[in-house]
Amino acid sequence: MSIHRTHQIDRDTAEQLLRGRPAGSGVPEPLAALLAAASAPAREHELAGEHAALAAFREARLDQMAGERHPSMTRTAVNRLFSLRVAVATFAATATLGGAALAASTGALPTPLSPKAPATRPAPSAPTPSASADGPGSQGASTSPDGRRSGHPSAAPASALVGLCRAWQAQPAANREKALEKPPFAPLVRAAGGEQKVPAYCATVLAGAPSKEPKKAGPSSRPTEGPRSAPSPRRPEIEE
Amino acid sequence: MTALHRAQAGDEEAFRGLYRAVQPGLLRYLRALVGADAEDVASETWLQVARDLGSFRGEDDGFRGWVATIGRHRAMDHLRKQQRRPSAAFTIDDLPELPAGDDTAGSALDRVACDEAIAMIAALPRDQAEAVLLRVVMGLDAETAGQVLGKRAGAVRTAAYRGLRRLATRLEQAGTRGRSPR
Repeated sequence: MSIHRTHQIDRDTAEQLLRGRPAGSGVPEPLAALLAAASAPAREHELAGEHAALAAFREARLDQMAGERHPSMTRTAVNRLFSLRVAVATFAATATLGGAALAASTGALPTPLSPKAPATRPAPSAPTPSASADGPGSQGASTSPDGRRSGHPSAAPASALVGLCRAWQAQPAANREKALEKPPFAPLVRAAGGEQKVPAYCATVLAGAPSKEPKKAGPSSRPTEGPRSAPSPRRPEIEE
Repeated sequence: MTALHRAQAGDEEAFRGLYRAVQPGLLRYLRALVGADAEDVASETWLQVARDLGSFRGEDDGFRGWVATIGRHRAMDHLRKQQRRPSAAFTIDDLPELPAGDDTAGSALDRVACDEAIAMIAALPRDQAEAVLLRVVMGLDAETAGQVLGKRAGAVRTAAYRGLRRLATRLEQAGTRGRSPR
């Protein structure tokens, strides 16, 4: 093929696109449509884990309130006790040197109600025992995204395979093999029965898939209606 | 008082609002990291968010970045564990039927369009995919995205711009291959 036109999207335009602002004339329509689709408002199946998340919130809340009354009775208090033992050993070691006051003033001695460090680093602890007993996490996960998945945790709805096939086909030929190694395409590879079988599999899948043209008719179809001026804020409004 | 502060004070409805605002973007971001296991990893993420909510210090933008950071770490843990487990056999017979009556043509196509868009972004080189997704679906600014990824804001901006250009090129090539871009 002849030289393809690479899009010289300048940084300002790119920044506007990334912030979800309606893009000017310099933006290729398909890219704007793709980003609009990626940031489309929540679909119902994406909120399927709400029940489990609320259960976790309630339990954490109870835990916190119990901790405030009876520090000795909570799991986290037990954890702190463990770290307290370590701190006591340090304290004992420094006390003889008269460093006890220094240790206390620098905060080396944890108090029972001292807040944990903000969890911006990965928490090493596994999910708590009562959480796994209730199974809120697994319940939430297996309440499948669109209510139609099988119990298999990695089963892909057939409609998702259509999307994956299209996304795979949109890759340049040289990149297709490598693309199949990326996590989102794993269900496609499994469904096809192997990376080599994906081309034939996708040809079949897309032959039977609904065409994209009817999108203009549906009232709920948003993503390709011009530049991204969708009413719902892309940056989720948490403030109320 | 913001919803975040109210949730930290124990307001369940405020927490529900946070979940509804953040979860869809989190799920889509995790999709790029762990594919079909995104729901599981998202559940684990919210468990930790609920548990550590009281000790979070910051506002809404920081909160989304915090959730993304937890999600990313959970995803990495998940991938490490997965490497030790053989993947289960899975055949086309395991697939459920295509959605029928209750799903309108419009919403089924919406879902395909969104999933397809996420998959296309996810197929970018990893640093570009993460930079674009954290900005576009998680609504983070470049500084916060940098904190999630452990990079400078400038590096995140560059990765995102490169990702957009590559996407534009791929979309155009797909269009000129005789296939309608829509």
